Amino acid sequence: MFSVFQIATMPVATKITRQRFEQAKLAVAAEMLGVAAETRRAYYSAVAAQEAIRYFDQVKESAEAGAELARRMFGAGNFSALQRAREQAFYADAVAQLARARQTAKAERERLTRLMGLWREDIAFKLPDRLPGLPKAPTELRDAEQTAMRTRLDVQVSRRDLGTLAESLGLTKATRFVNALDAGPAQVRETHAVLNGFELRLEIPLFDWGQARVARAEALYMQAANRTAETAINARSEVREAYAAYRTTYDLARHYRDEIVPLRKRISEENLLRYNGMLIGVFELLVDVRESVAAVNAAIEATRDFWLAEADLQAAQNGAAAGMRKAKRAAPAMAVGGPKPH
Amino acid sequence: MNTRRRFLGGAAAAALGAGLVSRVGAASLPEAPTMDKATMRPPLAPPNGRPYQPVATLNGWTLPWRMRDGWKEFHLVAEPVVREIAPGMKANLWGYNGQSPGPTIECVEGDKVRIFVTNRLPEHTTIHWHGILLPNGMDGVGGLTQPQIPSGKTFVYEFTMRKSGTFMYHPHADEMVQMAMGMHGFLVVHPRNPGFRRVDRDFVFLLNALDIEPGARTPKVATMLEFNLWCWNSRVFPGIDPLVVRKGDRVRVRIGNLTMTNHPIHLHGYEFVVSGTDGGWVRPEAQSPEVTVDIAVGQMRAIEFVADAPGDWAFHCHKSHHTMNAMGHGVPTMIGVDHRGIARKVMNVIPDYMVMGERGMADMGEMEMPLPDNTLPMMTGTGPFGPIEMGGMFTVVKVRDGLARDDYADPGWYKHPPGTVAYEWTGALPKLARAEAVDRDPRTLTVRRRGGHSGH
Repeated sequence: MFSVFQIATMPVATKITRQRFEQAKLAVAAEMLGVAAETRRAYYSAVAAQEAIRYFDQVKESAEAGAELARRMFGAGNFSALQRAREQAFYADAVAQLARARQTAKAERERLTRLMGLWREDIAFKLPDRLPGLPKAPTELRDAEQTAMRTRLDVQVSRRDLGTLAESLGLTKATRFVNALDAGPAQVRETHAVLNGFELRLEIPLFDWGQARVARAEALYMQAANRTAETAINARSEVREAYAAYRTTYDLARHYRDEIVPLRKRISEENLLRYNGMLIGVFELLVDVRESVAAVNAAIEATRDFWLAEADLQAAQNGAAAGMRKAKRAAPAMAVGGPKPH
Repeated sequence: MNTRRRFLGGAAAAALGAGLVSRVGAASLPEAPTMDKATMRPPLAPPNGRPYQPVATLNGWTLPWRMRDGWKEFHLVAEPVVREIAPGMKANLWGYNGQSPGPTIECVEGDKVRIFVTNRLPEHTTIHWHGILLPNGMDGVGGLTQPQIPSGKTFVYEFTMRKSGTFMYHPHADEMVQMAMGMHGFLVVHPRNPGFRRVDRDFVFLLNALDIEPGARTPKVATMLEFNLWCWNSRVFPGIDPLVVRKGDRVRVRIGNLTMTNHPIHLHGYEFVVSGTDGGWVRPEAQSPEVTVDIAVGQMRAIEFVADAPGDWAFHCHKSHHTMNAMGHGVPTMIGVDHRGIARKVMNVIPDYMVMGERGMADMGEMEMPLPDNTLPMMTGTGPFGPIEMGGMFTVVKVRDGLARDDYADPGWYKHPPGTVAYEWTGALPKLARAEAVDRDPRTLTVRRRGGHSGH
């Protein structure tokens, strides 16, 4: 992050190329952050896709047991051809699902390999077995926005430009600082009282215009100050948008973890008790396995979606969002999960 | 005509809607005794009124009464109850005076009977006196012969018992629901002459059916035919009392059917005669020897035999699925299916899985496995020689020498005289010609047993 900022604030070479150079170095810095963010996304997707294989493998295994049992029951005369064919069809579907899940995992892994720029023996990197757990509590929106004001690339650059401009205009003595996020410095000049009660701060200095006594300098500075405010306001909006997705995916993933998966587990336990009492048969147990596995897989997907949203939020906080949009265009379509099992 | 009188009665302070009764002799409600046990109370010898030989109600009791100005006064309270169906299962039912079925009402031919019915159910009810010949307005058909008894109210039924025999009582208001919830009881009218058709032991029970989802406690009231608990007096084997009989006793068993299907009730070890039907006593010359009596829906039958053969004689409904507790109807037949390798595959995804039914369902009777809460095994019970593998409408007639006249206590398992029990042939066996025996994998064949047998 620090080095990226250094790129963005490299000294100006010549006055002529200044404008284009500024644009180029900003784009490079944003793209670097974008690649980093996209790599994070690819990492979570690859781990999730690999985790999904394990569950589709269980589905296949349960279907295989059912199909084999049905084959033998048909042989013993206890099952009709229709009943046998149904179980075989489940198995055939499960095999297809597993193959699809494996392919997805391979594609996700290759995408990660490309984004990390690995080749030769490095491509044998090992991914963890499962996604990291959810954080105990989600980040608060206020913290996310404040972090963005502190670390976001475009905001920092804008603020630095403002400082440079002030220097070049010979403005040295700041009379006070205002929060650019309040309502824009133009209004702040008239209504000092507005400053109180805002939690988010992006402070920029205002100067004693008596020193310069040049109307043009004041106009130039206030123009730049307003641009800084615009940058900050847009940044806030981007963070809010990313935060909404972050928060929703967090709540969903937690709902899967704390409600749906334990309920499925309870259902499986109760079904086993019913099997013990010969109230249901083994085929119903196997169907239950497939349903449980589907719930666990959905929970993995929900957790993955949270970490993807978390990466997006980080991108919005450090200004990588623009660069990431570009990187995303080059990436393959996400297809983790595949169709739901029966 | 004075058609409506209202007064407050007794401890319950229930307002009596006595509109249907022109003469109410009671100044207060008789006591309404309640029962908290599901085991058989000893027969209740009549403390007053005409003498008779009292009946023994399986897993039940007889309702005490009071005599008042020549009337026998009973008090039934219709109310929600919790009934133990068998050890290990309790059900939320509706019944009378603390239990389902309600207490047996006993009286004598010629008795003037006044029955107070207090409704503590959340909905209205009535009582129909099934088979009794009585004034039309006492017949208990809601809407047709009386207004239903509203929740919280008490009604009074008054009639004279014109003939002896075997009868029942049950609601005739929201009838399907109230009977599916367990509301019924037995009504016995003894002959005026206590010597008429006198027996030494006179057992009574009702056939009733419940449908309770395994793991739940309250019957499904919309079930029409697919009941899963086939009960005698809201009990199933091994919760049904044995019929304990002294050798040489003349025994009568009265059975009433309030299920939605017929029940061929079969007694081992004896011939019996059907001595009583819905309409009264069967003349001796019309009685035929039987070992099974089919009791149709809504019918009552009394059978009689002389208990001259000691032993533990099975006594049950001959519909074999009625001697089972709750079971699944969709369970596939596993007989003859080779499970080698499959159990391990299933256990990869269901670690606690075990193979069942490969050789039949007898495993079920032998094993004690964890079941859903409040659920009885499909087949259960343990006898002196092993698992009895029964449930539902099954119990044992225990005929013993030397019991006291009034002893109904379970005497334990029958001690067979030497040489009178089926035994294994240990001599040489001829070579059996049969299809190739499958070489089975002992790992999948052996059923894992979990937990010990708990005694019941």
